[in-house]
Amino acid sequence: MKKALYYILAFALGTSLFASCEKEDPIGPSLVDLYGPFRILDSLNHEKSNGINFKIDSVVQFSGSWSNLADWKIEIKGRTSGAVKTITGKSKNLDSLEGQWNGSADGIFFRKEVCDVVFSFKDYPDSMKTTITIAETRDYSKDGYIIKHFEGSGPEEFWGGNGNQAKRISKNDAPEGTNYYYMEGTEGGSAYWIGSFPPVSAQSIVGKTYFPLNDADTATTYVNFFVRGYGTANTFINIQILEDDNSDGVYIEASEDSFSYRYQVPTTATSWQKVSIPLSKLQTEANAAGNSKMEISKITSMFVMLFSNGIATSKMACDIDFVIITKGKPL
Amino acid sequence: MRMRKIPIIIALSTLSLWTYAQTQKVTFNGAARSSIESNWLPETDTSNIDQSTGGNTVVDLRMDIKPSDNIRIKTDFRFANPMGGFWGQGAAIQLRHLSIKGVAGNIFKYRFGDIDLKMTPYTLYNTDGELSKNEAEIFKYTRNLNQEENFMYGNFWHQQGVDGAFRLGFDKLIQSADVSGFMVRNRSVEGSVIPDRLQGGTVVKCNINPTAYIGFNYISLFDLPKTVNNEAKEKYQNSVYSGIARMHIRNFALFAEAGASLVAYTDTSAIAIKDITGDFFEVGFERKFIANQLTFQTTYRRVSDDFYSAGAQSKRINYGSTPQVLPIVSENMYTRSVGLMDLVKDQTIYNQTITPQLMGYDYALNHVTPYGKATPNRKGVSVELDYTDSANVYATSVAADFLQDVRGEGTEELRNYLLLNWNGMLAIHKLLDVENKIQITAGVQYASSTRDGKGLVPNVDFQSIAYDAGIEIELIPRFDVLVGAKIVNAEGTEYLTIRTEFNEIDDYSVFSFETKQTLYAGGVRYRFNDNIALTLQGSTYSFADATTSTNDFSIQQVYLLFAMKF
Repeated sequence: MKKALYYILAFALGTSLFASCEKEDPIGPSLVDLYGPFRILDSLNHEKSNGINFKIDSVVQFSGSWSNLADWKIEIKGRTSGAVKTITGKSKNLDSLEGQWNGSADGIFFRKEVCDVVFSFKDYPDSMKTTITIAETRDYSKDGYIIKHFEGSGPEEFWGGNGNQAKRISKNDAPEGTNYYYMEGTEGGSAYWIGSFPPVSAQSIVGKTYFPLNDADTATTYVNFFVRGYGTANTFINIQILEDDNSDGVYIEASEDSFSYRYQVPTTATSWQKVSIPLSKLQTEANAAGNSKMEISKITSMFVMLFSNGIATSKMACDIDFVIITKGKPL
Repeated sequence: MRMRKIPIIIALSTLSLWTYAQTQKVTFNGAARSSIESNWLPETDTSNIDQSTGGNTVVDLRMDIKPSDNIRIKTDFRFANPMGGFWGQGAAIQLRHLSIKGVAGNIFKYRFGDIDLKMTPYTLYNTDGELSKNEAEIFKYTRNLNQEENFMYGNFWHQQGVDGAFRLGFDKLIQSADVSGFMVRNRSVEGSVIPDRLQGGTVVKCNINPTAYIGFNYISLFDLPKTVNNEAKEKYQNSVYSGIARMHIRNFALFAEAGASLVAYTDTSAIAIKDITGDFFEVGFERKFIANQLTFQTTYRRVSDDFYSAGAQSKRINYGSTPQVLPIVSENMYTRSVGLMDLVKDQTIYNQTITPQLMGYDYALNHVTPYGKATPNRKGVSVELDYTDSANVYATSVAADFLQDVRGEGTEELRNYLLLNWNGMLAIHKLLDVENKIQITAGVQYASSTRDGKGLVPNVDFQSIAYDAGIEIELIPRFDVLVGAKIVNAEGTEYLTIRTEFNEIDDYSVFSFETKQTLYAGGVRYRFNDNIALTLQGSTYSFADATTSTNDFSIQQVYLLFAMKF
């Protein structure tokens, strides 16, 4: 038995020395891909050389490849609108979903225009450029429930104001479409409410008593709009939602809730800004008389108002456009 | 007067007889410890909390109950009171240990409750903490206390469950077979999502004769999906099995162990999404010389990159933990990581759970074998030479590991590793033939890794060297002066491997650093007897980072400890 054990051990020793001579494939991601010399293999390109129609094609796929796994950035800038879209990722090529663009923008929207596309890396100085022409812009109506976009030829009703407020039409100046609305008013002192559009009901937007929103999604449901100031102080946009607490289909001010958020237009914001406010940030109105519980599944209508902070101000003015409710993420 | 004394004498006699009878059933022993410490940062540190104080008193009362000749119940009650816990605030009574053990029919040994388990370095083994070999007495004394505090005895893992063992005798082929097995609970149900996790194992050791055996080990860490809800299908399993053999021929010993591991994971849809197998083997021999005073051992081992053994690869020290003493340091106000001072002074850095994910480690302390012999992706030769003279005047040990990657990590090039270790002890009092103890200890550890990047990627070129020196002088009987120093320098470039939850390499992060840690300590100790001692220590610990000097810091500490066993 002892001999047998001796042979077993000798065999194990021999086998081990033999086995140790094998050369095996590397494990883990390639170091050359991560830390090796960098070079571009295929330059930046896309398949829509005749222009992209975002109303037909949902996305445009960029292509390009390089030698190392790297952090990259695509910056698309509209030559006319000045709209910008930034896409970032980490890969060795643009063949994945990461390299797609759906026509959306970081701020103001793109128009039908030529866009410059600049591709750059975080850790390497190399960059690539191309252009893309937008034949038709993205249809944002699919992104949520549009409350106000001021398009169409009819007049826009506005309550209050000082008489100078008006819908303005400029296909080069509107952040979305061709129209936006100029609001202007005067605060005599302690008025707060300066002017307002009539309430926009869920019935008029979605054909139902309530907007189809879930209470559990309050923090991830947003009201978005574009705003541009004129350097006037104490200028606020007040967003107010009205709830039908008792589910009788009607909002009653004396017994039900309303919530609002006052966004102050910065005096420095003299170009279009995109603003997104989660509904969870709206506060109970002082005169609200309901259950004081935000239930966004019971919103019957929404107000968009020009407001002040109660300090006497001779002129408060701003432009507003494309008020939209989005679910899951900001516009 | 005499008549009145008689009942008292009878009562006292009865009580003493009753107590004597009780001592047959119950014996008491225990330990007590009281410590006070003060720690502070230098005056130049104006960013962080400068000082901390702390301390506590604990008494462990251990009962050994013997209800019958074949059964023993062990308990350990702790009475603890933190310093400043006046009138019982913060005081606690804990049951730290409870076990029942016995022998059934003089054949089958069994244990329930808290049990300590160990198998082999590849299956279930609590590898020693970093830089703990032959360290200075002033460090060893506190490190041992902290390890006992965490039930770290030798290379055993302290677990809760049941085990049993028995021996079978044979007339032919083998003389006897020792069979043992255990089952412990690794993790309990959390909510209705995370299932119970158990670990079980068995060892069969066939004794061919008193100097030779062959054996088989099996251990498995596995989930019980049905412990959460009937729909649960998610299951993790890590199993390791090995064969082992050892034989002696006079002063020569030949030994080997070889085995394989399996990691299997089934997701919530009952789809097996992971099935990773790995293997290892080790063969070696040992030879004793000079009346067994000199031992030479050499081994060759190969542990595949995908060999995963939770029981052997879980680390004793949790380097992800936050040190207890002054954790926020330096101008940069960062949370420092576990350092030299914490290794010997902090009892909160110990890991008590066997975990399937490879734990992080400190590259400066030992990046060659961070998971002991079971470190995956290593192959090569280890050599060790130990010498202790018959009178225990001198002792020295030299060890070297010449290792290499089994498979390249991210490249076909293989890293080469070198781990050298020298330790020595000199009992000067025995040399000079004086009664009072004078003993010095010293040690050096050198660890390096290299890999050629072939001009395409940064080279691996990382070294660390650790020095340890200590002296123990018994000035007058039972009154010791203790001095010790630990220094660790580390510099170079390495790649930190980032792994998935199944330990597969997912990414790397190349890093370079040049750091120096120093720990100097001095103190006195009075040993009232072999079981009671009072120690006063002062130490200074510093960390310097040559690449980012704003990370530098130092900590001073004064530590008073009274410890006794009874």
